[in-house]
Amino acid sequence: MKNTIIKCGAVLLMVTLIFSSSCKKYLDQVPNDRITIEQVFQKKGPSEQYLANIYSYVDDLSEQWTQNPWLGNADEVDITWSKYSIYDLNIGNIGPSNAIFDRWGYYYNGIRAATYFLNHIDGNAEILALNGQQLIDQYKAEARFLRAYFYFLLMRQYGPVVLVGEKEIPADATADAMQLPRSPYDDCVNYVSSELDKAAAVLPRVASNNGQASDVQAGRATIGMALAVKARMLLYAASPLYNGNTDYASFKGSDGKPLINQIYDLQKWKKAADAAKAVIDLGLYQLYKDGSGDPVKSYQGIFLQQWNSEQIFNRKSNSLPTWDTHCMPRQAGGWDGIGVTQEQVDAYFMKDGKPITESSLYSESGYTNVNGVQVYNMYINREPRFYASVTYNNAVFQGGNMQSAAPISFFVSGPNSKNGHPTDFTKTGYLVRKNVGTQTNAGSGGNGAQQARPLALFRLGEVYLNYAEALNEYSPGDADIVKYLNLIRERAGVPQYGASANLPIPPSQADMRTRIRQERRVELAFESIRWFDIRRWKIAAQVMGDVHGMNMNKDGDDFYKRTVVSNHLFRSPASYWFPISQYEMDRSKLIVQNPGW
Amino acid sequence: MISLYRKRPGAGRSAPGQIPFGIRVNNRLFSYNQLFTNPNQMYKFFIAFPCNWDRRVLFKILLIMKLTFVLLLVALLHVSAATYSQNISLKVKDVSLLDVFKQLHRQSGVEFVYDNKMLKEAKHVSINAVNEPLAVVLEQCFEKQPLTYEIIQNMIVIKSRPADNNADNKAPAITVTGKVTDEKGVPLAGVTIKLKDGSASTSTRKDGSYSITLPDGGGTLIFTFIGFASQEVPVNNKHEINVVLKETATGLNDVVVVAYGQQKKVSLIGAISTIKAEDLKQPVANLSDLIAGRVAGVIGVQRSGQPGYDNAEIYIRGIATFTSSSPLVLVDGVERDFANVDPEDIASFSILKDASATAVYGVRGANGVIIIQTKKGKPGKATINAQYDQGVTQFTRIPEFADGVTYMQMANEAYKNSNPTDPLPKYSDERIQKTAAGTDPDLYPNVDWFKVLFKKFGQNRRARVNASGGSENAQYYLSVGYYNENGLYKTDQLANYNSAIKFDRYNFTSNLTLNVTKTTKVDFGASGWISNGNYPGNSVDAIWGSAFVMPPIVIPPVYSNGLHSQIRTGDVLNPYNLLTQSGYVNEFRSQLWSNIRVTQDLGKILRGLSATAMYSFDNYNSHTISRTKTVDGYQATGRDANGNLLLDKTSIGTSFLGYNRSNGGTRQFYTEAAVNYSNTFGKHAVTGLILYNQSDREDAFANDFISSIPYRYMGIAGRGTYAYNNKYLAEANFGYNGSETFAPDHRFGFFPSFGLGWVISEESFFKPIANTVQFLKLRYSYGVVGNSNIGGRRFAYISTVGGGNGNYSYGQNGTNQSLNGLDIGDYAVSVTWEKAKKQNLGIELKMLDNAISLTADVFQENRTGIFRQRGDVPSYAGIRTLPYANLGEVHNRGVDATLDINKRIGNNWVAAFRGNFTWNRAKVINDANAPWPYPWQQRIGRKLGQRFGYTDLGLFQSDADVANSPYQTGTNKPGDIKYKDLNGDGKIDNFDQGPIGYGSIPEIVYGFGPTISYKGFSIAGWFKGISNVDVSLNGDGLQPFSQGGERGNLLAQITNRWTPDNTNPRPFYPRLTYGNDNMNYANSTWWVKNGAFMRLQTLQLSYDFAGAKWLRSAGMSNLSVYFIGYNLWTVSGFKLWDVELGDGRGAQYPLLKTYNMGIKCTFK
Repeated sequence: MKNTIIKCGAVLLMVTLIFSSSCKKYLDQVPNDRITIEQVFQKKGPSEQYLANIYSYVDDLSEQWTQNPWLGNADEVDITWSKYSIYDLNIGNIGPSNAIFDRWGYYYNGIRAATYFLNHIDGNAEILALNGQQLIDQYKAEARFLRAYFYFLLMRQYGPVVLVGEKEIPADATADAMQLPRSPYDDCVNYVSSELDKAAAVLPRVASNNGQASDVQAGRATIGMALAVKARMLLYAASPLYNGNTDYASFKGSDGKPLINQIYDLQKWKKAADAAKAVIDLGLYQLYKDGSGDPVKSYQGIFLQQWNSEQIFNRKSNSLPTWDTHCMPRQAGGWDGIGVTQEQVDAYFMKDGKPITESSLYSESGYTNVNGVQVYNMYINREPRFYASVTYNNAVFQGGNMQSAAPISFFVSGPNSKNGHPTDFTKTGYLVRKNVGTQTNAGSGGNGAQQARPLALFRLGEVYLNYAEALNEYSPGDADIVKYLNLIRERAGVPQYGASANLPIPPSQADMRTRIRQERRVELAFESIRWFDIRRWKIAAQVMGDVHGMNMNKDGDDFYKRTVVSNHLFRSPASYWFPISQYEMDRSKLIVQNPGW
Repeated sequence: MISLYRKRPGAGRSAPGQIPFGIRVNNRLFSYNQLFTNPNQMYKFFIAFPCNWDRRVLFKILLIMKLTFVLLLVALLHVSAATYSQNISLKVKDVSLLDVFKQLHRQSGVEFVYDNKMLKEAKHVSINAVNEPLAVVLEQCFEKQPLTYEIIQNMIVIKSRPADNNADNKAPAITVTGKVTDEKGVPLAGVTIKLKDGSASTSTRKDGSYSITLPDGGGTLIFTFIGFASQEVPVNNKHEINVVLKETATGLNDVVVVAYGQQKKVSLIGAISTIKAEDLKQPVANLSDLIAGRVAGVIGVQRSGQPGYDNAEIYIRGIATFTSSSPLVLVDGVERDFANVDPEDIASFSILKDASATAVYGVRGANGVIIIQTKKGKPGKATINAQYDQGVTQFTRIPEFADGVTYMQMANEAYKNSNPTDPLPKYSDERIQKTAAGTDPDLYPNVDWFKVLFKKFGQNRRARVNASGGSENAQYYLSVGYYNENGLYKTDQLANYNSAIKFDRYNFTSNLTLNVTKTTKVDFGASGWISNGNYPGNSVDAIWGSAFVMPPIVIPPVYSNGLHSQIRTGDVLNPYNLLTQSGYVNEFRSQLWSNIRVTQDLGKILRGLSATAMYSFDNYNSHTISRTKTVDGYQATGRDANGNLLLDKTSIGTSFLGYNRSNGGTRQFYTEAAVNYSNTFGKHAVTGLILYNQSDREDAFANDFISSIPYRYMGIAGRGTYAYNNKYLAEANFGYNGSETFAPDHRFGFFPSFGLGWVISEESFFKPIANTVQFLKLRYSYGVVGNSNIGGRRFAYISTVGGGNGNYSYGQNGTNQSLNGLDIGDYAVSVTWEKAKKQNLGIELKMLDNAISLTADVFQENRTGIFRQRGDVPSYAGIRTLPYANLGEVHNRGVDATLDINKRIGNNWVAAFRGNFTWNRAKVINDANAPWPYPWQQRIGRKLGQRFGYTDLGLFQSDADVANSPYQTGTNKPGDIKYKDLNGDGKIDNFDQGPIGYGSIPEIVYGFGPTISYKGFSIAGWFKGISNVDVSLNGDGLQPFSQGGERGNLLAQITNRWTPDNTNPRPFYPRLTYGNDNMNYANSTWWVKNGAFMRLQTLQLSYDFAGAKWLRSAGMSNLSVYFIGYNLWTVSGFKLWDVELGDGRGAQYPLLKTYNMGIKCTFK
């Protein structure tokens, strides 16, 4: 028996020895020289890649059916496909528990990445050796600008947001330690505004490399970008929705403080005007004008001419060619589904510079023969921007897989109608033409060509209109108001206010406000501006609802009847801002939901 | 491993396969009846030698065994492999009969039943036996005694010798000789032969022969032998009587493969169930498809029948974790994928379920273990089996689509409902009429896409040859197999390549066993397979998906002028083009497994000690070669004046085949070394095992750095078992192992388990009912097992750097600088394995003459520390990839049971029935998520996999009903589905989604089947079923006109819809709409259908020519022909498609129905 125990013990001991001597190394497999986040911030290339990742959160507005609702959920465009979430949004199938177009977490990812960058890039050995502290400071300013921009993107969609601060929340903190409340909207504006100022103080005027202007760095943050973002944000902040909006009296944070200031402050308009003027005064940008002087080409060129002098903030990588295909008629191989609403068509001025309601040139009967095609008189004598922006029935189009120019027919028996394709047809009888790259040929029957170009997110034209609008509120009658409004009209090939007795300068502040708003609607159409404008002006409830188009079920005269084609539901107050997702509400104990949700 | 047990010293006392655990329970109860019905004899029964020995006795016995019988035992070991014997060596002088009994019991395990009073009358005896059969020794004992004995199974019952009444009536004496063998023809030594109602008795010699002198030729001889059924043979004045004894089929001698070894079934404590290799020989390529429903404790479903991709999901005792629930599968001791193992090569298939059975696998064992052993050779003449099967396959059930006319009528109705103001119908009467007429299928097609895509029948076939045999020193098993299956897709006769769906597989297995020395054994195994699959250029999902979105009336499969049709959109594709015009994909995969094992008997150092070591090398490769293309597509717009088609080019194809490839491959090393101990000391049986193993698997085509690092683990495992008198059983196991995926300080874990067993039928108090219940065992186990296969991420203890949100580009004027993003991928967290605390209580029962046996287990498992991505982190923290933590907890419980009924009726009929049942329910205790706002939304406290959705209240009945009901998104009218407002806020939104139905994984899986055989004929059926499961319907094709246009096919069920005139309150479809107008197709009880089914999985008819004379002349020892029908018949309330495919719209390659004819011959 003793022997047995001894022998068994010996065997056990042997096994254990073999085991313990070999096991440590066998399982230690993760190499030490793999990439780590600490290494990233010691090297130049990886740090720049990290910064590129922060940039990648910059809004890509070219996808407007599942990523961005700003066109299809406003009154300017109807997007045809019911399979996309834009359709759900229009019928009201949205809520905290079905938070479509939710960008809350997405931009906070960008904010965290930026904060992490700011907190870790100092002392980067390689950059210090190659470029010195100056480049680190510039990169930090870029990250700071981006972080502020992401906050702005959140604020325009959700109103008051959570300001996380200068330290990123530790990933291993308990849920309780992560809780933060929403800050009052004005606090958010002040914070972002000061962050943009801080960034602008360091950022170069033009994209630079070691202090020298550099083509290859184009697209990196500049002073102009920071100031343009600030100008737009302050314009929004001065607007009725945010400035003393007593509708939100009961919209309070978890600490009981109102999240929207309840007292109207005229000075906010001044700040907005000053901020816009600051961009203009940089002197870096001019309105784009085509060499031929053709206003249609000038207006189209704002977007199609790469890196032109009007563009302030461009996103180089984007999916504009996909947008092109969605906008093109089926005849050109496109998906035929981004339809301009009749409301938007009606907004374009006549070539005499007056709106259709006031111009004697406007007619809704009869046809005019244009190059051998019968064109409905509604589309005759309109301003150049109309022809640059809208494909209407029998408008001539060339692009995509169309080898030659041809009229585009939306008649029910025509090639772009609701017949002949299950889902790809505009419901309004119009298509968007503005910023459609005709060299893109990636649709059906296409060769896959893509007309790549930067997406202009901010441009000088908008800054002019921002300036005019803010100034008209703060200092009505100021000469700059009509000056900048007319600069826009001049480039557009539309008669200027005051140029003739027939078209006087709008006499009152209210008249001027109306004209500025009309001009914004036309000039900035399909640029993801209108959605925010109708909300901050608090007119969304009036202008949304049924949207109209031509009668797609008909041919000939019957086609040209205003017909309700869709309903873009606006519910007050819910539709002013997006709901914060229930997912986030369940996890954030200090966050209050937006009104109406 | 077999050898270890074969040579265990316990075999010295009795035969292998008949180690004393089984002896007492073998009692044939009619013997007791006989005893009890004799009123003149009053017996007291004692269980011989109760457990009151002290250590000295034990030690003494050890000594005796060591010193006296060493030689004998060695000798016995050698003969024992081939035949049964109960030989005794005993040298005593003038001792009491009781003392002799004691010695005999110790040596043979035989039990004596006697009356103490009776024994007092017995004379002392002297015996000098060297390796004599037990019966011979008994004869010596009783030669001059007033007593005699009777062998009743393993009991020797002592009786007083009846008075010799026949002395006066002398008839002529007769001497009978003969030979006794078992069914295999092996001579049986020591068989007791007695004259019924007489005193004459003898026993067989070593060669099985006997000779007995009887007073006359009119009596009856009784042949009895332990472990065999006794036989009575009338003498009838014959001089030679040869007898074949049948082994009693109690199954108690069965050996079960357990973790790192095998155990006798009777002494098992762990919950282990087995599948007979025979049951796996079905006409399917994939072994995994056969497991669910065949064995208690497995929950499984098969979601696709696509050749080569028809793996079933298998979960042992259900899913009890959020991470991987796949069981550990070991083939010949090595972690391997068993799907492509040829069932013919399988010797045993065990499912290890509880902690006692799996704790030795430590961090790999929590999800249960499947152990498969392949066949090995047996010494003897070569046996060659050849087998050929030919099957015809069919889809079990595919969805039916509405025809073109119905499609257009329904579209008109739906369009009208959605656009009441539009005066025009969607489709004109003219178009409908032309479609119905079918005169111009180019312009007015009416296509049943499934008819276009699928053939009616496919086929599969298999051929196998295997050979086994060998000498005492070397045995072999060799096998080759071929499997071929042709799918049901059609091909284009004009295409110059073959896009048919086709799957070939070649298997081979070779297992060699060499007894290198008397104590050293080497097992070598090599096996592998090569498969070659041919598939269309597009995936099955794409082809099926497009058949579900392409309406019947838009384009014909091909235009009559030969041009290919395609409509003008990127996402509704012509399924016929996808299938036949897209080129082909060839995929070949191969696998090679090799293992070598050396086993050394260390009996010289310590009796019962042996050591074994194994090394294996596995290699797997897959190569996918795609030669794909697309064709130019056209759509007809009308006809010109001459009647020629006017065609628009709608898509430009690549026209020529392109080339693409992808590869996969892994290699795996596995090393194992173990020391085994097994011995018995009287009634104490002890075994022990210490084992070390390590494994290293590398993915040769990993996609990233982290997964390119080899997957390793290592560990030691140990087991000790103890059995007292086959009655009280105890077992303790542990696994101590480490996985490289955890931080260095947290790598190793200890996983203990213990189990207790009690064979109640061994107790004396059980005897009164022992004639009804032959065997009753209770067992309980408790232990902790781990799961390191936690998914989510590997090496969670290190942080990673990832690509972040994406790239960004800079640069103007022709310059470009595009940078890929970098960001923190995952944060480092301290993680460890999941822990499963498992309890199992089992009962095993055999009754009614062993005809019925039942095994039932109840189990309970608490899985804690489940690796979960934290769901409580607010989004504004901005963490891209949420950190992981060991936070999840799931409790699982259930029962599983197996019932076996086996009855031989007369000599020719055998009726058998087998059935098994498994139920489990896992409950979420913690899912690491923030709580939901409303109680009905909570996942915590609900079953794992619970479905959530709206509760329907039927259809809206009127506009007033709509107006008075809570707000639902979209346009709602009579005939739309009305939902329940659970939170009462007056609107239906996600807050109103509560638990509905069960889920897609069944809670109940069962199987049963009768077998009836008469002589060579046999018919066997096997039914498999699942229950407590449902199917949730959704998707294009199911939802009509979902995108408001000619997108989406219609199921034939479309006509069963709500209309103002339809009185059915629950039609299949609500009011039809054109587009996604409202919430009709949200997840709700309306669309959740009962997914329970029972199917006749196999029906087997066979005829066995065994024993036919002509077979011998043809050189065959056996020949059988059979028919197997697979998935012939399914009973289910669900009629849309094969119910086992589960959720969605049925757009998967369905399961197959197979009619298979086979022939099998054996040459010996």
